[in-house]
Formats: sequence, C-alpha cells, structure tokens
Amino acid sequence: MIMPLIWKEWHEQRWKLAFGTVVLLFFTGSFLAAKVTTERELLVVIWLLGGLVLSLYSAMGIFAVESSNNTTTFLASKPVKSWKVFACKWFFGWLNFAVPMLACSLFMAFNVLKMGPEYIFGLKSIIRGTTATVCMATMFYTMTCCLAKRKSSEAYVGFTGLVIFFIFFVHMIFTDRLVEPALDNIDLFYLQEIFFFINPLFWFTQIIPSSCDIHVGILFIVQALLFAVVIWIGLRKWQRSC
Amino acid sequence: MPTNAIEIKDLRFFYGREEVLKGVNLQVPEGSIFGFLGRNGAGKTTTIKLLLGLLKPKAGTCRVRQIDPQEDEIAVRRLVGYMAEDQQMYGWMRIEQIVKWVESFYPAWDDKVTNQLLDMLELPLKSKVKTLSKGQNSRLALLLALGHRPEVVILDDPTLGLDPIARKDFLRHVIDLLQSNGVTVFFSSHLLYEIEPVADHIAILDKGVIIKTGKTDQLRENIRKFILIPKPGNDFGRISGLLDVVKAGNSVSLTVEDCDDAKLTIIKQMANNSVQETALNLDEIFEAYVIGNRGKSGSV
Repeated sequence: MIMPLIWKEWHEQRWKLAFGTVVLLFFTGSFLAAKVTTERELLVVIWLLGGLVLSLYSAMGIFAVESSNNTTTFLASKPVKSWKVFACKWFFGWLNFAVPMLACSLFMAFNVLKMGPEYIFGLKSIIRGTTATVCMATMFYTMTCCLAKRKSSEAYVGFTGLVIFFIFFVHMIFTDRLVEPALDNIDLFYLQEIFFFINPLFWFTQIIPSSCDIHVGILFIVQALLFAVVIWIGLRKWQRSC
Repeated sequence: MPTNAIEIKDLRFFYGREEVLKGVNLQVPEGSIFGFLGRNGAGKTTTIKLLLGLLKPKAGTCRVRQIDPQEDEIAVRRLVGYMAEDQQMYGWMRIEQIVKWVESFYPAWDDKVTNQLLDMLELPLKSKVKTLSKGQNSRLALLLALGHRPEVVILDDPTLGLDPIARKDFLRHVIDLLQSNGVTVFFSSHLLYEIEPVADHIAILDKGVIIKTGKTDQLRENIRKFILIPKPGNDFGRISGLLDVVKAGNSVSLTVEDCDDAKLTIIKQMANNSVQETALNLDEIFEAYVIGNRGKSGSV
C-alpha cells in the first residue's frame, strides 16, 4: 500500500526537487565559470546553501502543507499504517535537498576527474564533505519538520527551523569559546564530546581535514540517537494531528 | 438477536486536560441509518475519529463490525466508507486521478460501482479537484467513500458549508445510494431537518455524553408537549421526565418524555383549563434534551 503514497509524494514534490537541483547547479556552474572564488570555498558555500536553506525550504513544504490544505484527515483515514505515510513524506522531503546537493557534488567530482591529480582538492574530500553536509542537513530538516508545533503553517515551520538553527549556532559558539577551554583539564572527555556532538552543525567540521581528530564514531552515535528521538516525536505528532 | 455494526462502550477521550467524551455508550444496529446528533463541539467528530482509529481513547472500547480499531485500524478503514466534515482533497489531482489514487488503497474497489456513481453524481472526470464547486466536492467525497462498497458508511456532517439546494441534492443522492442496499449508515449532523427524513435511529450527544438514543419513531411517540394555563403554586419539578418548561404569558408549555397516563393525570391536575397536547418534531426533541431547562423554573 505504499505505492499510492509514493505516487502522490512524487507528484507533489517533483517540481520542488527539480527547482532545487537547477538552482544549485546553476549557482555552482556560474561561480565556477566566473572564477570568483576557489573551488573549495565554492563547494563549502554550496553545501551550506543546500544543507541549510534547501533543507529548511523542504521541511516547510512536507507536513505543514497537509495541515494548511486540511487534507490530513483525508490522507490519514486511508487504510495504511500512519508510520508508512510519515516515512514516505519524510523521505520525499529529504530528497528535495539531498538530490541537489548530490548533483552538485557529482558535478564537482566530474571537474576533479577532468583536471587530473594536480587539482586543488580530490574526490575523497568531495565524498567526505558531501556525506557530512547531507548528514547535517538531514538532522536540521528532520528537527525542523518534526519539532514544529502540530498543525502549524509553513511559515511557522520555517520559523521553528530558524529557531533551531539559532540555538545550535549559539551552542556551537558556547562550546567553542567557553566550555571547551574550561573542560580541557577535566577528565570528562566522552561526556564533553556528547555535549558537543548533540549539535548537527558539528558535521560541518568533518569537511575540514584538520579536524579529523574528533571522534567521528561518537558524533555518529550521538546524532543517530538524536535522530531516532526526533523521528519518534515527529511520528507521534503526525499520528496525533489527524 | 440483531447484531450491531458499531458498538461503543464507556468511551472517554481528552484533548489536553479537557474531557471531550465522558463515557460514551452506543449501539448502532446493522443495516440502520443512524443519526448522530449534537451541537458543534459536542464530540461527534472525535467519536468518529476514534471509530476509525485516528485517535486513541483514554478509556473504553469501540468496535466496528466486531473489530477494534485500536487493534486493527486497517481492517476497520477497509470496511468503512468515511466522509469527513468539510472534506478537502488534493486540489492538483484530476477527478480521474484521485479516484484511481483512492482505489489503490482498497483491494475490494469496484470499478462498476464507481462508474455508476460517476454518472449518477455527474462529476467531470477531467476536471481538477480545486476547480470543483462545494457541491461537486461533497459528491466526489461521497463517491470516494462508497467506491469500495463499504459495509458501514460514516458521514461526518457531510453537508457542512453547502447551500440549501446543494444540501438537498446531496441528501437525495445519499438516500438513493444507501437506503436500499442494507449498508449501515452512521450520519453525524447538527442540522436536524437533514436527519429527520432519513434516520431510523438517533442518538443525541451533548457535552461528551449520550443523553438519548433510540428509534426515531419511538422517540417521537414518547415525547409530548403540553400547553396549559397552570394553577398558582404548581411545582412542575415533580413531573418525572420533564425536559423543558417554557412560559408564554399566562400559559406554560411542558415537554415531557416517556409520557404515560399517570403523568397525564398529574399534568391535568395542574391545569386551570383543558390541556393541549402536541407531538414534536426532531428539531424540538433535540432542543428539549439539549437546551431544555428540565423544570428548573419549578413552581409557577
């Protein structure tokens, strides 16, 4: 019974997906052609644009649209498990930013292969950076659409996303400037890392090769747990919004 | 022994801290057209959502054809045809697309019935849902609720927002489609004149409690209105089953349920003149139960 859900979501999201992909590729192509910045800086800008702006835009148009159009009950009353509806909607929203980001990364990878080994950065850093930013965007997108108030409008979801971003931005500054130096001499290494890595913005540190010394495993575990909790909250909200 | 298509026992539900259903008990006989009456906010839509497994009750159970929606909501939704209050559908879909889309959820979908309904309800297949009038929208929602030949049809205030002509037109279709083929229809509304010609059973829900349920004819039989000029100092409160007392000048009208000879004698003793007895329509019965002052005015 998931096929009709996939059909519906594809028809609703395909133009958003196409729009995001075209805009991000156009942006990448234009900047590459204009040579106004280095390829590495450009890729970081694209990842940030895709990871934060597109994921926010995508989160606004997934669950809130059903509430705004009053179609939640119509959809929920169909003989299909609510988690399947939720998962299908979440996945198509995810595609809206993941596909444009992957498309840009492929475009850059193609350039890398074309330029040869003397090129400023390699395929490995593109793969690493893409994975990290898609993970960050996934967390940001999931938190925005799952933590927004039940039955809220697109604008309210967008506002929630901005609040979440602001909180994590402040958290990052706080950990960077205040907590990290203070904890340097205390033997609380894992707790300290858990406190740091609750913030999805830390995925971004994975782009820079110099920061490889942080424990990726702990980052992954903490973020996976956070993701599971947020998804559970989102599913409960979806089930209760009927 | 007749079976029940829907059974609700001690159903309780809270929205936040507010208790919206306070132990609802209801039996809907198989094959009946059941009018579920109540004012706006009485808890009708909540009860229906609980029947479909869209909400979880705080306490109590409900069953649709012996299936508990909390245990198997998919099975319940497959045998129920549901039309929501002011049902909105996907505006970007064409009618033929939305019919196909809904069809794919139901293994028992009947194309023959759907085509008959499409002809009967005069729906333009190529039109987009967003271009439909309210009347056409309701007819489409009805079609989507009936295409899989459901055994139980739940209509939640289906004519909400329709003009009087569209409302009559819609009800005519409902009656034509459902009255003859033994389907159980659970029809919620706050517009009583809608229900009156159609329903053979009714239940009145008020503030989360069922205050009256029974056959429509019996209800009409059992409730009587008496108009009299009372003797001074009468205590109407001693009339058991008194639903409403309305004073108009020096006369009083009393609405009484389960009216028998004994009660009639008491009422006659209270009157200064002859007592005029009248039957009530469903509208007046509903009003007496829901907003009647139940003899609170006491003596006159």
